[in-house]
Amino acid sequence: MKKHIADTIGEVAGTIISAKDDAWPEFRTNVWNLFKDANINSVFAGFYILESFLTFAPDHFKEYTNDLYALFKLGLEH
Amino acid sequence: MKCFVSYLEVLEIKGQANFQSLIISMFEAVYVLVQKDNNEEGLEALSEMLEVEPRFFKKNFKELLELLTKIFRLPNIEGGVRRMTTEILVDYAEKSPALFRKRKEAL
Repeated sequence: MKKHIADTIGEVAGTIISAKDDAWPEFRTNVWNLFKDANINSVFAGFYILESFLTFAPDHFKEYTNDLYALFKLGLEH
Repeated sequence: MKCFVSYLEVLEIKGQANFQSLIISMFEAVYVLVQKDNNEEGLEALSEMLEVEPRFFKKNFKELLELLTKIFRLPNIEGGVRRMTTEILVDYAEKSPALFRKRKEAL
């Protein structure tokens, strides 16, 4: 259920932001905050959201490739 | 892992190069998932990536073969995992036959 909700958030955000890049200005900050949370479920939620979001609006995180690299590295190694 | 694959699929080839250093970690994660729980999710993600961007793994072809061989040789491996491992090998051979011509022992 949690994954389903996160997927939906990613899709909705992706649809909105791909139509207008500044339509949801807090989205990126909210996603980063999920990854900063000590609760592992929040981190998983962050990954699920990104997984579906990136297929809709991949350029939204274009400037943050290094941050994404660090996140993926951490995720794969744990 | 699926998030990683999802991002790689939308990156341009130049951008993908920066992430090639994560390939070994990805392979290790796939192996751990299979070894611990016969979990196919890692293999599914790997299969998807090979389908979309086979060239991404070209430089780590040897390590990819080693991973698939290791998985295949795991004791108590489920039929589904064994089948998926074989499918990945066959699909990759279809996509990159030149690589396999140089390493026929892989087949």
